[in-house]
Amino acid sequence: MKRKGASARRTGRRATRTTRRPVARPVRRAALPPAVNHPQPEVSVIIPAMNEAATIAAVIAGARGVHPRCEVIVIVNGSADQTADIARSCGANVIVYEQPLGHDVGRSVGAEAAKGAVLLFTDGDLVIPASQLRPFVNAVSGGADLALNDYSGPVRSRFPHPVVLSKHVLNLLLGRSELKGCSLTAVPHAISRRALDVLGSGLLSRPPLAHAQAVLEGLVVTAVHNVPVGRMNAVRRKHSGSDLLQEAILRDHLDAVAMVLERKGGRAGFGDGIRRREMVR
Amino acid sequence: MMGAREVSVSGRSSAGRTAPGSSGSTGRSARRSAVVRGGAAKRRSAKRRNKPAAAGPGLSRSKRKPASGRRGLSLPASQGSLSVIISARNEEQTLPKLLEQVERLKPQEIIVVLNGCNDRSFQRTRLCAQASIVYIPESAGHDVGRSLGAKLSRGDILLFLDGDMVISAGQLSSFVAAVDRGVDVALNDLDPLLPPFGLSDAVTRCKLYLNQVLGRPDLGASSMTAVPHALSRRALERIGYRELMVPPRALALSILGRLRVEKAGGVNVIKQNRLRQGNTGAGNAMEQLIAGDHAEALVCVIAHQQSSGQLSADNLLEHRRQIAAWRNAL
Repeated sequence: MKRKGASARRTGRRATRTTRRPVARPVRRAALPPAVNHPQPEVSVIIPAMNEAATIAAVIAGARGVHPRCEVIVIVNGSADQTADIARSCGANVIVYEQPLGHDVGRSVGAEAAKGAVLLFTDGDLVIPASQLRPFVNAVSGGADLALNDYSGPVRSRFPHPVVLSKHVLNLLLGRSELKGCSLTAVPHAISRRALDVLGSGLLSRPPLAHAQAVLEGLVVTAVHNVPVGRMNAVRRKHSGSDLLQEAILRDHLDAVAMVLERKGGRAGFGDGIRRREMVR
Repeated sequence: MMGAREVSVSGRSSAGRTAPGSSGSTGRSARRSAVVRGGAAKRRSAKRRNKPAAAGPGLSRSKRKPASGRRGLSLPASQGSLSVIISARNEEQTLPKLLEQVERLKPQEIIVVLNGCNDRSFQRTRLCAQASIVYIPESAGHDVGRSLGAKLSRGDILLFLDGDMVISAGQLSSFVAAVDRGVDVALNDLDPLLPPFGLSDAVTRCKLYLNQVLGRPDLGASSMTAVPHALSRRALERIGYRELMVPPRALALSILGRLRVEKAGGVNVIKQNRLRQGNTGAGNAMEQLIAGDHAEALVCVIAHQQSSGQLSADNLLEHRRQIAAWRNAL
C-alpha cells in the first residue's frame, strides 16, 4: 500500500539489495536469536519443505529473527533427505508426512499447529533474511489481516504468464485492481489470527480462493513489501512451471473468480452504463 | 423491398427508418457493375495492394486519409451478400466519409443505428441513398445499436462498425473476406498496439483473461468489444442477436459453440478513437461497463465448464498430491 505505483520499477534494484544486506550489516550476526521455539509465541512462522536439506537451516535462521517471541513450524512432507533432522536441530517444531501433502497443503497443516497471533508463511527453498520478513509481521501487528508480498510477477512483456494474468484479473473483479498481481499465492506473506478464523485453515491450501474470500469478507488486505521471489527461486520454478501445476493454479483462480461472481453478482458489481437492454426484443 | 420492413424499437413510436430511392439505387448498381466488368486486370492489382492490410496490421496505412483519390479502385467482391451495421451517436463529421468507404464494399444493405443524436447525423446519413436508418432518440449504447442492426439484417456476412471512425474500404474488406472464406467471427487484431502488461488497462486485462479461460490465448486481446468485426449468418443464428448486447458474452458463446473465431485484420482503432468524457482515465465509465461485460462472459464460461464436469472438485486433492509427488521427483 505504501509503495503504491513504484513496485514494478523497483523490483530489480531491491533484488540486489536483498542479497547484499547480510554482508553489509554483519552486526546483526552478533545477536543471534535462541534456536528454540518460544512457549507463548506472538509470531508463528510456517515453512512447508520438501527435500530442502540444502536450504532449510538458513531459512529457519531467517525466520527466527522476525520477532523475539517466535515459533518456527516446518512441515516436512515427501522428503527422502535430511530436511526433518536439520529442522529439528534448529529447534523447529517439525511435522513430518512420509507422502507429499500436495501443493500448498502444508500451509493448512502449519496453520492448524500455529499458536501465534501472527502467522508468517514462507517456503523451504527461499532463503530470506529476517529484515525482509519483518515488514509482513509488523503490518499484521499494525492491524492488517493479510500482509501480502508486493510482487506481481513479470509484467514487462505484452502477454504475461497465464498465472500472472489470472492474479491481476482476480483482483480487478474483486474491485481491488490497485493490488495488481499481489496475492496470497506468493510467499512470504503474513495473516492475522482473525483472518485464520474467518477463512479456516483448509482454505489456505487454495490460496487464490483464500485471497478472494478475505477481500469479500472485508478483511484488511494490503501489499506491504516487495520480496522478489521470482528471481530468488528462478531455477526451481522454471522446472516446475509444468502444465500440471500451472493447470491447478489456473483452476484455483478460476474457482476464485466463480466465487467472486457468485457473491458480487454476474457483473461483479460493475454497472451497465447507458445500455438499454429492453430495447432489443 | 427495404422500405417495406418495419422497425419497432421499444414501445416508443419515435423510431423511424428511411428507404433508399429505387431509381437512384439502380443507377448506382449499373455504374458499379461497369467498374467491375471493365477492371479485371485492375482488380488483380487491387487485390495485391490490399494484401498487406489483410495479412499484417496495416497501421501505417491508417495514417493516410482513406478516401483520397482511390474511389475508382475496385475491391475483391465477396461471394456472400454483405450487411454493414453501423452504430453511431453524434458522428456527423465522420459518418459521411465512413459511408463512402462502406459503399465501396458493395454491400447488400447498410444499416445505420443512430442513438441519442443531437447533431446532424441523421441528415448526413440520409445523403447515403443505400443506408437504412434506425433512429433512437435517446442514448441506448452502441452494443444495443449493433444488436438491433443485426436483428434487421439479411446478409450472409455482417460487418459491424462504429460511426466515430473512418476506416478505408481496403481495411474493411479483410474482415469481409475472412467470413467469406469460412470464418464465423472475424476479429480486429489489436495485439501489436498493446503496451507492456504492467501498463495495460483493465479492459485489455479482461480481454486477455477471457480468451485464456476460453482456451484461445492465440486471440490475444482480440474481442467482439472492438470494431471492426464481422460475423457469419451462421454465427448470428447460433449466438442470437440479443447476445450481441454484451459482446464478450457473445464471443464466449461463439467459442464455446465451436464456431470459427479468428483474427482477421489490424485496424488501429485506438489512435482514431474519439476521446470523450466517458472513455478516458482509469476506472472510466466505459472501462466499468466492459469489465462488467467480461464478468458476464466469465459467468457463462464457468457455467459451461461446470455443466461439462471440467471443474468437479472430487479429484482435486488427489490431483494436487500427484502434482506434489511429480514436483518432488524433479
